[in-house]
Amino acid sequence: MIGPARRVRAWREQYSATARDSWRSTDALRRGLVLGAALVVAAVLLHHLAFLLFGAPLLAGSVLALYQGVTGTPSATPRPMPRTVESGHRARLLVDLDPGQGAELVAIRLPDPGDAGPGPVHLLPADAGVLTTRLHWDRWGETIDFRPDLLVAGPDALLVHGPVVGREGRRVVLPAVLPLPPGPLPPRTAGLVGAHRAPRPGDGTELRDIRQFQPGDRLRRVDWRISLRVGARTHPDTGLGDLTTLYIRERHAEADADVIFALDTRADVGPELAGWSEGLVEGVVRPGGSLDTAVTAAASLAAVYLRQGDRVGLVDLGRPQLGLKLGVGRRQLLRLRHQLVTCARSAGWAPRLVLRPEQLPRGALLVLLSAFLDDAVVDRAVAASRWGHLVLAVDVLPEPLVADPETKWGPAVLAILRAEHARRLDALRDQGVQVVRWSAAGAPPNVRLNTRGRPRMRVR
Amino acid sequence: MADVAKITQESAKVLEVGGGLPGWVLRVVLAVAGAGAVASQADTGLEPVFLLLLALFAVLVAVVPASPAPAILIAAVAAISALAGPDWLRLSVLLAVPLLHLVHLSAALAAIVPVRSRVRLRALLRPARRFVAVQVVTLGVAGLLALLPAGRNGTLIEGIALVGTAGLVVLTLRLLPRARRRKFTD
Repeated sequence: MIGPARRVRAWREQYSATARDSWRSTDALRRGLVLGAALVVAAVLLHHLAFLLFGAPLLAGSVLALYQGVTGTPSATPRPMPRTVESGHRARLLVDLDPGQGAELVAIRLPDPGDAGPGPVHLLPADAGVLTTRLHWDRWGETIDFRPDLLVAGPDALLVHGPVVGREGRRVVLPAVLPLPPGPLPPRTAGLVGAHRAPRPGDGTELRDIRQFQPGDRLRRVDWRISLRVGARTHPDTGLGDLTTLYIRERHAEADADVIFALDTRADVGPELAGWSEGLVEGVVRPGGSLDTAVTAAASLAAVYLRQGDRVGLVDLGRPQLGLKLGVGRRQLLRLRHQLVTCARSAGWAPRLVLRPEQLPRGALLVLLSAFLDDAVVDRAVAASRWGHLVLAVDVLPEPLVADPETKWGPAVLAILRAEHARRLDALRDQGVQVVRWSAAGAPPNVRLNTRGRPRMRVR
Repeated sequence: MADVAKITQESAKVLEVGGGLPGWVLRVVLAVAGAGAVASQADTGLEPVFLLLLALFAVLVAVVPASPAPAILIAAVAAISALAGPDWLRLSVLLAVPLLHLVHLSAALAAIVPVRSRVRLRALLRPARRFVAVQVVTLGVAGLLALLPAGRNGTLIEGIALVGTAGLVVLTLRLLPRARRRKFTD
C-alpha cells in the first residue's frame, strides 16, 4: 500500500521529469502576464496611468515572447573523441547544437578552454550551430572531461526547455613516460637472447675468461694468437716451447630480464602532513603526491626496460588481484599504464600488504615503489631480497614535508616521522636493498642499479 | 568549390566558448535595478524604514531570481509609486518604469544560469534590443498621454480601454495554448 505522501512525491518527480523534456513557461512568463495584466486593469479601474506604464512593458514583452513561439527538441551532441589519451595532450571538443525553432539563448555546461573538468555553464546565443572548446589533460587517471548539461530558452527566457543533464565524456588519461637512460639490469640465465650480460658463459660479446681448451669447446672459440704466444714461451727446464695447448676466449651469455614493479597503493600522501588523515577520493590521486610520483616512476622505468626487450609485470601490494603478468613490447607498456590507472583508482587502505614468492619469477628484479611509511613494506622488500631477487626500493615520499601548523605537536610529529622513515631506508640498505629517491619534480639524476655484491642472488 | 563553401558556411556557425562576463554580473544588475527602483521612491514620502526594507528585499530578489520575489518587488514599487499622488508624470515614475522592467528581464535571465557561469554579451543582444524597443514605445505613449487633457475620461473611452485590455488577455490566452500545443506535437 503506497501512502499519499509517496504518491504525491512520485507524481511530482514524474511531472518535473516530463517538464524538463518539453518546453515550459517560467516564473518570469507568469509574472509578466499576471502582473502586467493586473497593473493594466488597475490603471483602468483606479484611473492611474502610472499603473499602465508599469504594467504595459511586462505584458507586451510576455505577449511578444508567446507570439514568437518556440518548437523542436533541443539537443547538444558532442562529436566522438578517443577513449584513451596521453597525459599532457590537447584536443578540441566540438558539440553540435540544435536549439530548436525560435530559441534565443542556450545555457550549456562546457569546460573553459584549457581547464580540466566539466566547467561552468555558458550562456550563449542560440544561433551557433557548433560549439567548440579546447581540452587539456595535464593529470593522468580516469577523468570526466565534459558533461554538456543543456537548457535552451526562448525570447527573454520566458519559455525554457530543460535543464537536461548531458552524457559524461569519460576518458582514461595514461600516466606520462619520462625519458630515462637505460641502466644495467640483473641477468636472467633462462633466456636465450637479451640485452643484459649473464654470469654464465655463452655467445655474447663481452669477454668472460681465457682458459685452456676442454673437451666440448668449439674450435671457433680458440684464440690462436694467445695460444701461439703462450706456446712460444720456452719452458725453463727444457728450453722448448709447448704448442700443443690451446686456449679459448670465453664470453658471457646475453639474456633478457624479468622486472616486476610492486606498487604500494595503500596510501597516497602529499607534502603537507595535515592532509594525511583525509581519505582518498575514489579515482582522484593527489597531484604531486606519493602515488602520483610512484605511478609516473613505474611507467617511466617500465618504458626503459621494455625498450630493451625485457619482460615487465606489475604487482599491486594492496590489491593483489590487480596485478599484471609479465609481458614484452609496446602493447605491454600500454597495458601496464592502463593497469596503473586502475590500481590508482582503487587505491586506499588495505587490510594487509601482499607480496608472495609466487608473484615474483625467479631471478626477477623487483622495483618496489612506496613511501615507506610502515614496517610491513620493509619486511616484504627484505623478504624478496632473501628469496634471491635483486630489489630496488624507490622512495616516493614527497619532499620537503610540511608539519601540521594547527597543532603544537606538528614539528615533533614530523621529526619522528622523518626519523622512522630514515631508519627504514637504512634497514633496507643494510639488507642489500638499493634505495633511490624519486621526487615529484622528476626522475632522479641517475637511476642505475649496482648489480655488484647483491645478496644471495639465485641463478638458474 | 562546393566544399570550400560548405566549410566556410560551417565555420560561420562555430562558436568558441570561454570568455564573457561572470554570471554574477546578471545578479548585480538585478540588485542595482531593484535598489534603484526602490531609491527612486524616496520622494514619495514613504518612511525610510520601509524604503530600507524594500531595498533589502531587492537584494533578496538578486539572490533568488527564480521565485515570486521579483513579482512582489515590482508590484510593491509600482503600487507605492502610482498611489503616491495623482501626478503620474513625475521623475520617480519615469525612473521606476524602465528599472522595474529591467528587474523583470534580468530576473528572468538570471534565473536560468547559476552564479558561477559565464555570460556571452552577444547572447544578451536580442533581449536588450527588445527591452529598448518596449521602453521607447512605453515612454512614447507616456509622452503622448502627457499631451492629452487631464481629468476624468468619458465612459465610452474607459469602456474601450477595458475592451482593449480584455482583448489583450484573450489574445494571450489564445497564444498560450498554442505554444503548449506545439511542444506536444514536436
